[in-house]
Amino acid sequence: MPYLGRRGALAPLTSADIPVGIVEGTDIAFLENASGTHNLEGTYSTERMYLNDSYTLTGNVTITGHLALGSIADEDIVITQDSTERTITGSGTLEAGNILQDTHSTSVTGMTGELANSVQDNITRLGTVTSGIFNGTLNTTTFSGSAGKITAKVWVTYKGTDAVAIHDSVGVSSVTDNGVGIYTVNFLTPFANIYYCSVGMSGHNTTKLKSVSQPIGTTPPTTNSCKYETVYADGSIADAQIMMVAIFGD
Amino acid sequence: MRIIYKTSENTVSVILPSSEWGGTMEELAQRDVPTGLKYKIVEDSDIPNDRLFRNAWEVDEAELTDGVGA
Repeated sequence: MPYLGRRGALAPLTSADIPVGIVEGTDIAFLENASGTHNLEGTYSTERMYLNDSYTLTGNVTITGHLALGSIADEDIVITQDSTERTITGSGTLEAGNILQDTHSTSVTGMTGELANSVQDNITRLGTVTSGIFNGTLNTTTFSGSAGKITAKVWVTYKGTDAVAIHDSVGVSSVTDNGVGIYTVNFLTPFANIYYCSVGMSGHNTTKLKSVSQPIGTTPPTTNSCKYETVYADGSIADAQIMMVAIFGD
Repeated sequence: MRIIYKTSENTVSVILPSSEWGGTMEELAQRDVPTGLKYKIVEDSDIPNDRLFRNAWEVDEAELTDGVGA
């Protein structure tokens, strides 16, 4: 592959050989994209930009400068790793994106850590986000671990009077009407154990106090469903005009 | 569509699918009807809107011919 070099010298030019400002944009006839895969490893402490179609992490990468991975070809940018798990760390910035093309996406496979916004905006599939802040829209995402415990795995709101009807839900396969004021919420995905935290409220008319009870003595929660009763303060069971339940757990 | 079954206490339970449910009513019945109880899949209009005597609803077990909860 041809490269710029000093006449008669064996080594290629380095940035130290080129005085600042000696090469202007108009001096560059064209940029040719390297169609192969560029390997990434080691420390990137200066401002660098590579133009390739794809990139492979062949070693751990530390970025303390500004590493821009681009492509001027009509291709998506793909960053993968070799068969060994690799990490990208450092205090610098890693960017990836196409030049003059916004119709292509950046694929980041098997990577963890902090990515520049230009990469995050194009992530279509996330593996496990173990830390940090994700600022965007998550679709069809299942939270697990600590995040799973602080987000409701199941919630449902339904009308318990007349023709019982589910208004809206998440993680619910069905609601069973068992009789006056007695309902069972059936889960799409079982909980890991029965020690999930269920919170609920119900309402009827404007003046009557009604609470939601879980009849653990007769029908304790299961991993697949949970039964609820809507009761007045005197203990009598009655239908609820609206019933709302949210459940947190593994 | 709804699923009805007779409980071990001889009461009638009615299962309403959520909008999230993507399977068939038969598949829903198999997972959400208690194990061993017979069920029938009925139209919404087959369920009374008047719940004044909800706990007195009855169903002939011989009518529950669509399957048994798994």
